[in-house]
Amino acid sequence: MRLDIEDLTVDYGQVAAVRGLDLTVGDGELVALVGPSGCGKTTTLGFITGFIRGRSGRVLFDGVDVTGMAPQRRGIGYVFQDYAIYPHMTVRENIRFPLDAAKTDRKQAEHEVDEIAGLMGVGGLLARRPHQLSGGQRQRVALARALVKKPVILLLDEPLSNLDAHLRVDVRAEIRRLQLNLKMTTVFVTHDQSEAMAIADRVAVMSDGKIVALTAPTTLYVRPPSLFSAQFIGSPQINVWAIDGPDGALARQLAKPLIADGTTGLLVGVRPEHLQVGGGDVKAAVTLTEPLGRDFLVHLDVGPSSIRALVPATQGVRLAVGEEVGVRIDPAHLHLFDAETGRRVEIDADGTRHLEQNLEGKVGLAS
Amino acid sequence: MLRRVLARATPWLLLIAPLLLLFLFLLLPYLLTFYYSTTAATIGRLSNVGFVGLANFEAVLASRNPPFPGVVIVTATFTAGTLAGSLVLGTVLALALYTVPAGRRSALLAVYLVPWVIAGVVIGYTWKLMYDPEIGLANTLLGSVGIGPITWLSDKATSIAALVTANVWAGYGIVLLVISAALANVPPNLILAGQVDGASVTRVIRRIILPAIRPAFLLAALVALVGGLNTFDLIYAMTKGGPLYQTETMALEMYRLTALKGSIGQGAAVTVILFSLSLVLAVVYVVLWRRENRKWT
Amino acid sequence: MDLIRLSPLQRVVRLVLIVLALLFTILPLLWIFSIALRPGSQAIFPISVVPSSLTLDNIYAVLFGPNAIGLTPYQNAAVYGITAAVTTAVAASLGGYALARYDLKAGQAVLIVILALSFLPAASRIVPLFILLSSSGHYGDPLFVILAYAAGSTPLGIWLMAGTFRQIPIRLEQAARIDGASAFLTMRRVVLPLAIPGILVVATLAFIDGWNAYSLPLILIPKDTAQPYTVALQAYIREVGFGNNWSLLSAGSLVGLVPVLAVFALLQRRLVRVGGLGSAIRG
Repeated sequence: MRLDIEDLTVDYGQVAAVRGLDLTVGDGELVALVGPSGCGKTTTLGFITGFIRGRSGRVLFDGVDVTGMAPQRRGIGYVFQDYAIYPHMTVRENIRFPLDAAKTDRKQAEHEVDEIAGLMGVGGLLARRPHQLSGGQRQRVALARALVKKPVILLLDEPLSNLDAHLRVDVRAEIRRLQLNLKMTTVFVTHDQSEAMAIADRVAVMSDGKIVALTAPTTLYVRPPSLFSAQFIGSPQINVWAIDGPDGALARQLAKPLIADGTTGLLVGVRPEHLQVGGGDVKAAVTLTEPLGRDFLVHLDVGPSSIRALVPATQGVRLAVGEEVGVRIDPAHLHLFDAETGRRVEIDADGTRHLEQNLEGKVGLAS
Repeated sequence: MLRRVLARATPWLLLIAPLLLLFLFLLLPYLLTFYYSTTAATIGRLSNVGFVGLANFEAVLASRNPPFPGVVIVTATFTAGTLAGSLVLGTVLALALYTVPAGRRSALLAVYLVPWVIAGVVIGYTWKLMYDPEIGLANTLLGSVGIGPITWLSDKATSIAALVTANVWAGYGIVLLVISAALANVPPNLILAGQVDGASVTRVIRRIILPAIRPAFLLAALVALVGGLNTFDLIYAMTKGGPLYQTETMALEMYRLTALKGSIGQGAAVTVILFSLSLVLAVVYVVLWRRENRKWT
Repeated sequence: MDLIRLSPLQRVVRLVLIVLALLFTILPLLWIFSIALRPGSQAIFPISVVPSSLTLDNIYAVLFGPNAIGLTPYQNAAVYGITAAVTTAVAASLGGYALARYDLKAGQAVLIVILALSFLPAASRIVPLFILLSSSGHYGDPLFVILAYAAGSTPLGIWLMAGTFRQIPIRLEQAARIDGASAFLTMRRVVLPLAIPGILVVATLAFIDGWNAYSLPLILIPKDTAQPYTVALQAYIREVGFGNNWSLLSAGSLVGLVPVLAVFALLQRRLVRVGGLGSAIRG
């Protein structure tokens, strides 16, 4: 089932929570909506379910407009952040509830409950009450309840955020495997960029009620279409220096091959993992080293500017605070952004600037 | 479109039944009361009654038998006594129970709460018997230590105190319950921190626990205040306001003027005064409730 | 671990306070019970809390004897209590839900006034209700007296139910709707089952009010029709002390206490936990 949202605007009082949002999720595709809290992700999900009304906007399932349809008739599967498991029902009754609501024949319903519970690995818990379940088990029950009625679309609202850190990676993989097997059209909302990157076919980065990037995870990382998405995706966060401010000297030095001397109005971005420490003509002083396990995060100062660089642990242990080292960057890993709009900028060999115009990371001609 | 209209109307559809009930049996009677408070209506003459403005209020205020200031004093004494008695007893007992294990505490709470479920009039009969000068338990107990006999309910010096004691007996349980619930919600770390800082038990109570339960304390005070102000059944069963009006509160006066004397207008005027006092208390109650609500959510 | 360590002296003070309060609360009841349960000849003298012999004669006399008020007043009280409980529970649930789930500024303001009215003693409504009922031809009909009590219990009930419903996450309702349930099914299967603790508390409070009804039926219900036991017991009261039939009055009171105490005993754990009015604090 294909999902289209067209021109959605939602107001909360005076404030616009979502502003002119368009989104298409293809049949069987998993799109992750990612962004900081308050960016409009959950509001968008609420519109798809029908609980939230837009000032404008339509939602279409396979081209059919369902904007005015009551939530209970849309056939959506939904997993809430806190799972919203009915506390007074057993696991079996919880999972059976959507079938009861659809007046499915009791025997058939029990059969389907057993089937989906087996698939989700909660077959042994059917007689239990929700308060007797662990967080991970609740999560599976919620997913089983969402899937038992064979929904047309699956909506997952921060389904992993209430789980222990070590469980998250496992459950994430499990959800993805299940989604691929069922070829279920899915919208996955999260504030965790790594989660979005790991699970999605495409990632939609939201900011301030708008989608600011919508593209495959790898493209998003390699060619972020905007400053916001560059900063949001990747950990530790990307280094950004303005070529016009106090960081100008450092920025121009690092981006020398790309930026002609008279150029202004650009931001230079470099991911910490793409900086090489040692050998290089930019001289920097180590101010702090943080062991992260496999890598070290090294903080360096160059004049008034600071740099975050990720180096292998073997090198990190040998760096001492106060030590002076060289820093270098492969120009292929430089990201340039327009200082005013935050859009990605590509510069041709002849110096022409191209401003990123769309959300997919394909560059159009500058105006 | 229809869905949208229906969605807007839903809360009011839900409210039809409760509002109808409240309107017919609570609001309408009091609207009538407000109306009659400005008329010369009597029990024998209810229709075509003349408008008399504030004459009923003036008559009530100027009444000589009993003088209205006397009724106000009795009401105030009774209400203040009920308030002070149930608040002190409820709070002290709640603090004493605070260190009792939770299981035993809720069992004890249930026992202390028993009088609260008994009919006011039965409480009245019970305490009337307690105070009986000849055969009452009160004088028997006092007599065993050489005091008495005291004519509790007829003596001017003791009658209000006796009524207050009965009313406190009937109502302090709810004060205890409210304060106990608030105490159970004081964050344990606050109390532990106070003790780690070297404070004694009494100091912890005074400086940490009591401030933490202040809003609940005010709420309990309000419940006791309303309970005192509006007590009717109990006093009616015990003294009927007598002898010689010395235990006549405004609630009793309202009843006497309307049902016994038949002066609907004057009775209504007293009701309006009583309502105005209750409204102030209700507003305070809701404001406190809101403030507490915000704190726990 | 004890949150607070008490010194031995403080423990003694605590024990004394708890015991004294227990005596204060229980002694009058025990005394009434013992008068009710001892032979009539010993009703007054000797004055003691512990009866020398126990008998059910007085109870029998109240219900079936020559001076009996009979079973009817108790049946009437039961009808008052149960009808008031059901009516209040329904009205408070509807109103509480509307208040909890919709933003009704006007409704809240109206309710504050109504709450203030419900604080007033039922006795203050005797005359206007008398006028209303007699002019509409319903004077003497217990149903209308019961509804008057239910109306008195409903405002606090609405506040308590609004608090109860607010504690039920709205997500559970949304989940049910997404699961395909209609508004009605969502109510029946999800919201109401979760609201039962609150509904029971509200119903209990209303039952107690209805069972204990006194001042309205005293005036609005003609003698020997649908008067409850509280009014009927007046038969044993004379204005002068010795004229009172304390044995039968106590026995009649005892019979009237049993049902409220039973209901209270069943629900006391819940009442204490919800905190009675305290639940209003916590919303």
